[in-house]
Amino acid sequence: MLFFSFFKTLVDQEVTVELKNDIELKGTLKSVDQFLNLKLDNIECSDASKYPHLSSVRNIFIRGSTVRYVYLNKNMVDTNLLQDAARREAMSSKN
Amino acid sequence: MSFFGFDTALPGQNKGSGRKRNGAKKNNAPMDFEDTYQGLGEYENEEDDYLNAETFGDGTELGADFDFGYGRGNLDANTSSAGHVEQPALNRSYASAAASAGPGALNAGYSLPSAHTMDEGMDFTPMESLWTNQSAVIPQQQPQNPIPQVLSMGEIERQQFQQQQQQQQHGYMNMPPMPPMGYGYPPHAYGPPGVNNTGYQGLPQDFSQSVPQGYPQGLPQGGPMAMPMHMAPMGPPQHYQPIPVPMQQHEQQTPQQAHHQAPASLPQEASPAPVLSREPSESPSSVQPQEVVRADQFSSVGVPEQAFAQEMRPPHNAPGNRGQAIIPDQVMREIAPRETRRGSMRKPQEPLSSEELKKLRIRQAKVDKILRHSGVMTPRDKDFITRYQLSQIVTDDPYNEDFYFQVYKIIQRGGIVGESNKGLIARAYLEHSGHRLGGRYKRADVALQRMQSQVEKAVTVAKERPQKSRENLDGAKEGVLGKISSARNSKAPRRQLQIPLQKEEEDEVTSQAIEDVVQSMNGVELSSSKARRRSSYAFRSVDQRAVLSRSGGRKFVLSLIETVYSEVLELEAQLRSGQDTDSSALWETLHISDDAYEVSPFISILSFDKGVKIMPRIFNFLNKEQKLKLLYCFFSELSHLNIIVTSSYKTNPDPSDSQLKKLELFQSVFLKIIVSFLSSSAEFLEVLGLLLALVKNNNVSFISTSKIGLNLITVLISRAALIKQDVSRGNVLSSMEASTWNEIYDKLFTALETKLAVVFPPDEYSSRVVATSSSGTVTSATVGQSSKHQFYDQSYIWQFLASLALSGKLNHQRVIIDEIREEIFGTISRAEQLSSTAPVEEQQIALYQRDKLYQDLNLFLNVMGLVARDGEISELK
Amino acid sequence: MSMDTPLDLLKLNLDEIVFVKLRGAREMTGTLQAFDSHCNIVLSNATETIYELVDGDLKSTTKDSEMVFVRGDSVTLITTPSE
Repeated sequence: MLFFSFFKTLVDQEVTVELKNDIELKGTLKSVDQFLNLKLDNIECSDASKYPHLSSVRNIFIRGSTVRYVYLNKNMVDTNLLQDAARREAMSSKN
Repeated sequence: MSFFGFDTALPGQNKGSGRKRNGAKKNNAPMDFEDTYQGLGEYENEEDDYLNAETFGDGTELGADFDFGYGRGNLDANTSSAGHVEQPALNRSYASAAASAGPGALNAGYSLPSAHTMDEGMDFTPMESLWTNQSAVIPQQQPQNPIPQVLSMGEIERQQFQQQQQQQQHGYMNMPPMPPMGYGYPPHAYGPPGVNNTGYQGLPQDFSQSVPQGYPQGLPQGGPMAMPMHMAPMGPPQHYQPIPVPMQQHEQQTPQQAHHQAPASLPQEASPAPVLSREPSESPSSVQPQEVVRADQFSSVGVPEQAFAQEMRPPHNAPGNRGQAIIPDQVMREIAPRETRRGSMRKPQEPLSSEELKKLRIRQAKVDKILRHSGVMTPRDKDFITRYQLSQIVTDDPYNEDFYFQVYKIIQRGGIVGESNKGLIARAYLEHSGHRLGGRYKRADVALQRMQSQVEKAVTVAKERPQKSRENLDGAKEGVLGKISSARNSKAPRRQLQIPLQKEEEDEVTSQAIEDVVQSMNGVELSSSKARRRSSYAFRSVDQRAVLSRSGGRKFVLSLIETVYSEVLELEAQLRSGQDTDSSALWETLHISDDAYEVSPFISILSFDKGVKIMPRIFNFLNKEQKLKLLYCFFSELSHLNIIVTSSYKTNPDPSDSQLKKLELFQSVFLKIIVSFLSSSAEFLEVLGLLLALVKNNNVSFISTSKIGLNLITVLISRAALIKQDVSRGNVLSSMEASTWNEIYDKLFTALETKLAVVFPPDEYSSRVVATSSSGTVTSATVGQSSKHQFYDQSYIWQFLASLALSGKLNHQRVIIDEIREEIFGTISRAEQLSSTAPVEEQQIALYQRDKLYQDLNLFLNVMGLVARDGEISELK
Repeated sequence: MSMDTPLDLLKLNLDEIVFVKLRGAREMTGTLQAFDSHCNIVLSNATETIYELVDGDLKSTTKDSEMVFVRGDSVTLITTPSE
């Protein structure tokens, strides 16, 4: 549940998602679930060559398994806390 | 097999046999389609699906024209009268609607949006007898029908616009794509009669009788219009609240509709809730009498009503919501004068601006959206779903599953442990659902409580879940929504790979060794019992990989760090839950008293950034004795410390940006905890002990070439001096302590003597650091007014010299001045040069630097009773 | 030291620079901030290198990001860079 917890703190932040089919979208993260499916609002083009021309589409649901990367800003993350959370996760999944 | 009538007997269908057959003859000729066609596309029609009727039903004549949107389909001839719940052609123009005659068309008109047969298996079709009063209604329609045709589109629009302008605040009532019921249309599918009566103020008398019956619960039609009038004081926002619950209540309370309750909640909920929510607090019974009164009133108004009704009818079929939206307003306008007559509180008529018109339409659309699916689930269903969802989200220990989010929230809030997890979830859920469970904002706290209790129930469910799974490990479990095949829930999916873990037994560590060290720490020790390597080995420590290997290896040290982290995390969790913490396990992981390695692993831990970062948190849990031992080890092996080597200009003449950052981290983190520890709980002798450890086991001069090292020495000396001077503490230093201090000071001084000038890094070094800092990250190594005009901050050097001079006797001070004379005068001249030769633009920066140089220098000179000013040294007065 | 699972070894590299190989001829280097049992990872100061065959030549493109989440199902290998 580590990354679910992590993404929950990123709700209402603007992120850029790169999918496995090379589509890249920038939008506001509105929702995430345990499978790391994402809902982005108000999407816009972040890279012209990778944008799928969904000009009429503003809000989308992305199935988690199709995501390759999610680009974030450093200030969205507390790195020390994240590392500790990863340690805890590793501890608990070991048991 | 005989799927879809597939005949397996046809030739060529069995690939295997086909191949064999074909293998015999050579296939040189082009293949003929007919030869190869295996008849796969020819499926027979479905017969014998004897369950078809059962599945799809054939009870009602539904026809094919289902409108799942807002009325695009044409009215079908198939539509029978009244009982049907198909969507009308709401997009028909006024004229065409007006022109169309016949009860059939009219009857099919204003059905409920939600009445599409989306949910199969449920009979949503309202009972004719309940909902309509054909006989009463239909005769009325015909005489009035022809009349509307007279009005033109333009006139109708104008009328509607006027209506809108006057009745803007009641715009929400216009939501449903229903024309006002009363205006000549059979009020089929109408809800509790009482409610709607008021709406039909414009109705002819007859209508007021028929109206009561046919009002669908949710139908906005005329009814809601009336309601708002009652509810005007309540304010618009409330009208948007989901209806089902209050409606259901309302339903139950309406005497006239008692029979509605029989078909359970479904039919009730099936019809769209009215746009207006009847406030649960509104007693329907109180509404009714009013409505009755109104109806009476209206019926007393003769001609104007007729005329009004005539006006109203043409627009009733207005395309889409907007048309509908306007109609009630029209009614409202007519009603208004009556309202004022009745003395009710109403806003003065204002023309509706296009802005408000737009808002009305948007509201209408929103309410439509809500109404589309309202009434599909019973409150019990909704409650069930809510609790199930919550049970998936909520756990009894949020820190277990949701660590990052929980702690992050707390940090964001500034460390305030506010509402509990459950309260927050309850509130969030409520906000999301728009307080529907609570009705008005007044009810919010009740709803919140209710939600919280649901959350509690969900937590108990969640708590019991692991227990159940323990009993029922691999079998298929009966889940809430059906059978769950996996034994684990979705939060913790079953591991694909089970790696058997063998946990070794913990070694029993005797505390005897520790005891010995403790004892040796107490009191003054001038000769350490443990012989550690002399500082001349320091230069072997330049190679960090060598140091690491001498302390167990990189992997070993990293695993130590991780063990330390897990200990700390566990301890912090214990602390959070209020338990007492035991630091002995943590102490063991630090390997401080571990003699198995040449270099203490603890030292190597400090060579990693994450090792340094964990130190303050470790200190939180250690007792004083452990802290002292830690520091003792630290000072003894200072030379092996990565950070010393990195920060010394001798061993690292060209530091990189990342190294400077590391320096900064160490300075801000570790040094800080040392200082705070020393100032809070260290005794004089303990401080001396640490200083002694430093002096005896290291090359002091080498240490002094590093910024960190020099700072450490400064800290120790100044602390000793502070304690010595602190007469207010009451206990004056004993003679033994004083003499010990003198001895140690002498040792230190001897080690530094003749090498004092070395503490100043060469200019090349300083400029390199400045250059690296300017292009990289600015640290405290440099100082300046702006990032572009940084210069090397030498204050730490002067601070060291100051503290050294302070604790020394006169001859010590003389030696110091002798040795650094060059530097003193050099600083003065540099300062003077800055102010005289700097160009005008850089005057400010130059002055700043000059002042800083003097400031630092005077730190030292003041101790001696001197001061440097404007290029001269004079006595301090 | 109790037996280390591979993920235990990965834990040792938290806050250290790691080298990640991904599907699609991609590599990534960055400081490991978080990971889980699916090998989802978060890297800071990351550099992605994509290798492509363009007209018979091996071409590589790099992309920097200050913080990136990498979904685990793309990850094939995680190691430490040689120093």
